[in-house]
Amino acid sequence: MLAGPQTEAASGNATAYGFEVPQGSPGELAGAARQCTDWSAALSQRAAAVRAGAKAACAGWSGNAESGFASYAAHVVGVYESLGAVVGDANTVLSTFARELETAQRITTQALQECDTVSHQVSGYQQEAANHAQTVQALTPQLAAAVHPQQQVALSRQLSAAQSQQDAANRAANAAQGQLQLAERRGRQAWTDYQHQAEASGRALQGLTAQIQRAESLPASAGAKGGAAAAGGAGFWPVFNGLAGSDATGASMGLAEGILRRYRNTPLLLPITKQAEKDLEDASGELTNDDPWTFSASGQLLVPRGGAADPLTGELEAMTNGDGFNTPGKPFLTAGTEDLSAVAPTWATVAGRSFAVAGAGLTLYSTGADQWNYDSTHHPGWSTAEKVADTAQTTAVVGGFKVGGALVGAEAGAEGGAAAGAAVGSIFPGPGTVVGGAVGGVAGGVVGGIAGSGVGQVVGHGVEDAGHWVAGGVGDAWHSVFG
Amino acid sequence: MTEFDVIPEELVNASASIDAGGASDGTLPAGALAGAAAATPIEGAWAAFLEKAIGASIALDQVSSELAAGLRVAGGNYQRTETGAADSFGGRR
Repeated sequence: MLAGPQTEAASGNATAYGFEVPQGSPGELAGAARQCTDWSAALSQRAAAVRAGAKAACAGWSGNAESGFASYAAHVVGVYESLGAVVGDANTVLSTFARELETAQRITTQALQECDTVSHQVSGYQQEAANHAQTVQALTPQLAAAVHPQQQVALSRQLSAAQSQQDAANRAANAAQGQLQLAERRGRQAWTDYQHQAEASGRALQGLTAQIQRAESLPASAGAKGGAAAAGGAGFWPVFNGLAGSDATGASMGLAEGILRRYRNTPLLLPITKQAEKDLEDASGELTNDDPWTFSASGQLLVPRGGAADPLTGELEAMTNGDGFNTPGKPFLTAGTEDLSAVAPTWATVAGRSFAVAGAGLTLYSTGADQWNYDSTHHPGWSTAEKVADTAQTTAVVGGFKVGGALVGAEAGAEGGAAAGAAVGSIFPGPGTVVGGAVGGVAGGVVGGIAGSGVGQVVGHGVEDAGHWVAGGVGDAWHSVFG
Repeated sequence: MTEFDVIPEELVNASASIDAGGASDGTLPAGALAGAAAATPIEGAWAAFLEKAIGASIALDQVSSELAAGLRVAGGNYQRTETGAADSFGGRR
């Protein structure tokens, strides 16, 4: 009998001869074995594809993030290859067992047929012998009583013939009985062999099952665990080396942040047409100029950037007073669903209204618009609803934590804390404390310890990339922060 | 410091190579596989193997797709940084 928790008593159709005919389909087993071959090949191909992709990605990429990515990719490749080999071995086990089952079924079936046939013959011969015995039994007293010589001769011949026929029938019955025993023995042997083979196959499968590795989930900080930990705990994806508010971060701040830093007193509006978006981008170079001073409209005076005397302030006000911009939270007419800028602000304005801080809303809009652009380029088949959903998630996580990360950096008192504080102040003009507390709470509660490993946007992407669990958490994070 | 210095097209290609595209659950006739050993002594062992192997295969495809998605995000942000658009992700040359 089979041993182990995953095997059970061999299943067969019982016979009257001490063996069973195994059940099951050798053809289906062989088919499954072939599918395992294909499956194994596919897994090996996947391993090669991931290896090639990772190699290409790492070709011009260096640093801790690359190390973490490469390490995790190697882990994935290894698990693919291991699983491919295990599935390939399963093909061997299945195909072997399929042949063994087929053989056992053939032998036991033939044995059963022979047993049935010979058993019938045995019965016939035995019946024949019994009939002849009755004849002998009847003739014997008649011969003894016969007085006429000719009658005695005739009866004697009949008795002799009956005895011969009885003996012949008995011999035939014995021979058939021997055949029956041989057939039974073949059937029993085949059944026993099959049980042992099935036991071995079952154990082999159990061994293969134990060899199956499961790929570790992507680390919560997209590289902070496993291989990336060995690489210094860096996330997979590009990271800021500086803290929020530091020069490095400030130099790479986006347009929205630039506006906030330099022109936070300007009424913040969302571009709702492509032209407005372009106008805003055209102004971005000047907006992000690090020089704190600029010339007045007369060109005779140096005035603070972002102040009332800054000509760009007036230009921005004039530009944003047109139909191309919309105040967050206010309804507006759209040019059409094909216009990116006409669609995206429908949720961005909600963010702005919920935030009660238009600047933060614009930060989110910046993130969301980029995601919308990206999805439109790289997922041309996506519907508007799909892009809105993806954009909303990215905006909630990336945009939200980009803001929240600045707070985390500031509260941690890390290097560059003063600059970080300035950045926080610019991101949260006015009710920064209130909003900051909410965002900081979410950053601490949702992101947890990984918040310290990078600034908000990186944290946000890390969370976004960490796995599907984020999807459910996004809504909670979003609502708890933004209402 | 060069933290990320791969052009977006290469990232997209790398991403496409890594992305499993749901290979396991799309190509495996799991139901037929599961029934292959029906009524045989190895039925239980085969089912346990199949469950674990398919689960591992799907998990692999999932994490590789997430790796690919990460590269796409990184490539997209890099591209945006290069073109001077609004967002910046830290992908710097």
